[in-house]
Amino acid sequence: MAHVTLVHGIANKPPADTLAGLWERALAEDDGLDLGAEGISTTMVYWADVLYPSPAEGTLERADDTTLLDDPGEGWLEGTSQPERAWLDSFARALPLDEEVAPLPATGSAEGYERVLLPAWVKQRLMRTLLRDVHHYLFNSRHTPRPGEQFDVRDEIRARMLGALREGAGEPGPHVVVSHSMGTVIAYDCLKRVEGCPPVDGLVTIGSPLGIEEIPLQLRPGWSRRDGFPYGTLHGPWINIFDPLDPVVGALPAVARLYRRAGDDVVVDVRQQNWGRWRHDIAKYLHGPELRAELARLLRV
Amino acid sequence: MSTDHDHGTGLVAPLATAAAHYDQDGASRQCHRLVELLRTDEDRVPVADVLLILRHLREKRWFHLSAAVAEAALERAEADEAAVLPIRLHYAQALIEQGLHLAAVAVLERLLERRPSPDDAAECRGLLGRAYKQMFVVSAPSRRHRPLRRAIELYDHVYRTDPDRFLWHGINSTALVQRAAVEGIAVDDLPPAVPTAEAILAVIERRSADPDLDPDVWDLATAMEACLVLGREEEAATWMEAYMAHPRADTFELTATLRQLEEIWCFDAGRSPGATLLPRLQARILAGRDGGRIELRADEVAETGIGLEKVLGQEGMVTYAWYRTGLHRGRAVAAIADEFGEPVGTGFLVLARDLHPDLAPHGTVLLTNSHVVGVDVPGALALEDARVTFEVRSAETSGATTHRVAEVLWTSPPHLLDTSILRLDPTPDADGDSCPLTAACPRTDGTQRVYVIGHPQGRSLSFAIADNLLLDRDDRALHYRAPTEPGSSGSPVFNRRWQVIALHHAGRSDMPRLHGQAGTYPANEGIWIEAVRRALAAAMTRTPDVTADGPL
Repeated sequence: MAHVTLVHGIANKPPADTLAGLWERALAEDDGLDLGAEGISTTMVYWADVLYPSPAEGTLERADDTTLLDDPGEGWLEGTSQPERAWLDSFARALPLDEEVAPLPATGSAEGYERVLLPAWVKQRLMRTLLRDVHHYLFNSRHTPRPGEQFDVRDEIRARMLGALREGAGEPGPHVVVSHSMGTVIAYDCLKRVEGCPPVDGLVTIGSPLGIEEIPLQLRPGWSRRDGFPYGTLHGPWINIFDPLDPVVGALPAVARLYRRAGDDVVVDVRQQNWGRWRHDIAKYLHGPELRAELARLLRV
Repeated sequence: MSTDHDHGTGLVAPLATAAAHYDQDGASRQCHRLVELLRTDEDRVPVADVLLILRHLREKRWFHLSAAVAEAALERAEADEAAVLPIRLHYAQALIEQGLHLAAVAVLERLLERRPSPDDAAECRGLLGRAYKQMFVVSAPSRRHRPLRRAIELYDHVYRTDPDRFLWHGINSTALVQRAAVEGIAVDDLPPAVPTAEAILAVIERRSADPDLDPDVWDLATAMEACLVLGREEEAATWMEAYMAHPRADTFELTATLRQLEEIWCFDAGRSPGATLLPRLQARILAGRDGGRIELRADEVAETGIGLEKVLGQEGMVTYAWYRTGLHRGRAVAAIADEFGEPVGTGFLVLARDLHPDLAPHGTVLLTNSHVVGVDVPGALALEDARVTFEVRSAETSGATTHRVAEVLWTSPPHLLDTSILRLDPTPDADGDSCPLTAACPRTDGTQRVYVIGHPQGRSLSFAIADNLLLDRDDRALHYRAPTEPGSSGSPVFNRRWQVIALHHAGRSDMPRLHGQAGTYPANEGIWIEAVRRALAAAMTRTPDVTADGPL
């Protein structure tokens, strides 16, 4: 039977089993795609514990409730290098948030950051969470989420991703990666740049910041404008689902232009309209008919 | 979060958290891991951890999980019998809760043979009393006498050893004596009900008046029952309120009380005192609790205006549409009886073409077990003796429409696929009512549920929608837990999308495991519907007009 490797996105999350159950239930609700009933196995690449001290408390109605974003604060900026801060500044500017964000101060001190004009409280949290999580992965920061535990963030998450992909490779039937938000960066990075990464039969990226150019620029060597597609490991389609009002996908959410194969656009960008104010919510994406149809096709359901 | 101390498995805290959130999926995963550990790395699993987990599972009435854990724990060679006795008691209780009373009796009687301590012996006898009580409940009237008397003897034996302490046993004995009188069973040699109830109530009232004592949750339920014995219905209602408000009145306790009131006292919500006691208790149970089975009368299913949006188990909120689909499936399910109306089993309608394209001209056909309606099958109904009735459809037309079996289109003997495909006379006018089939089989990772609709014991249409985990499968059969009973044979087994995945055909406390694994476990078995289709296709290829299944 088919197998799906799930990769979650930014911000703290409930425990791994709960999170996987939330994803599957959101996908199955309202006569949707019921992976369990179809006999399709899943593995969740859980990495929230690499960056956050403990799982999110309580029972979430949605897997990505913004009111529960654990604020990473600003202390992590200390110790970042000048090139890193320049990258962060550039990345922050690329996010289509409607309030002007001043550049980070030259010293990189937290005190200077506090004086920056940040958006409303949700966007502030989003900004800090997104910047911190993405930065720590792309720059392989050393992070201590809990006393006594320390990770080189990208190395640790890559190891978990590869382990999950190997698990899926052992299953008969198509193996599809379904990733959301920062999870799409993880998935792409591993498929494109990690030696020994097992092949997969399909890639679905959801609410992905991969269309923000600052990100693939940090995924070199590996990525190039002409040959960004991970053809060595992705033996099937790459479907990119985006809601243009999702703040995480950037101003140009279609990614085909950045991940070409021999200069050709091969990624299938699919626009989906979620609802409400927070369009980045994975549960909303999983409810979408467009995503469900594409995933069902990849899984041959 | 739990404060239980984990002794080494690392599974107690996650399971406790799952239990606190009524997350049966999460608990099931932890139990899955624990069972694997018990079977592969037993040194890592202290008995203390197993007992903690079993306690949590019992509190939430996830008895299929506790049975699986207990069984795996008992498979290990354990030198210290005293250490594993509590596990055996949990196992026995799980068997009772799943309707496997004889198996529970066997476990408990063997425990008593080992001469446990007085306290453990009291617990064994209490559970034995419970097992016999349940056997009494499900027995035909002509066979109730023995289990009822045995239950009274066991409960009373424990109560008399310490009347101040074993109140729960005393009230059970007393309630059963009351019931014996109602059943017309001679009670002169049995302990008198009223004096016993008065004595029990006096003890509890004395304790309740003591400001230094916190009321025990069971004492409150016991006091309520004692008042019922004494005919003091208003006082019973007051004790009920206190009981439901007790912080330890969880699913296990409340459901046990509900069952006592319905099964032993025969209360219903239509008349006093059931009208006062039952609805509040039912509402308290359903407000965020797990472990529910709903039995509906055919006219209740026929009504279209039922709003059944309730919280059930780890699925959380399920939609009204989901329930409506399930109810609609009930229209396709039939009771199969003999010519005298004695219930034999269940069957359900499918489109013939969904079984095999060449069967399309037959329109809608009935699927059941060949041990229910078969050809030359000992004990099965012959075609001419079978009577098929669709209760829901009958309720809608205000009259029973009984069909005969016109023809067996294909059959496979009980030891193979135990299936019969029947053409009915008259052919049901079943536009849109037949059950859809699917070749896909749900995962067997401990997270998937199945749903069974049938006529257990020939009773009204029954929906088994909780405590029904899919356990295992192979190319022929599925194993699952579900509260089925004799009479459910031939029922459709659905996945979460209300598609038929199997034909229910057996339930055993000692079901042999699949894939050549050693040992047995309590499980139901359904024939995988895709296996039926493949066998039918092979038979049609060999001989287009074949009606009997050849060797597979």
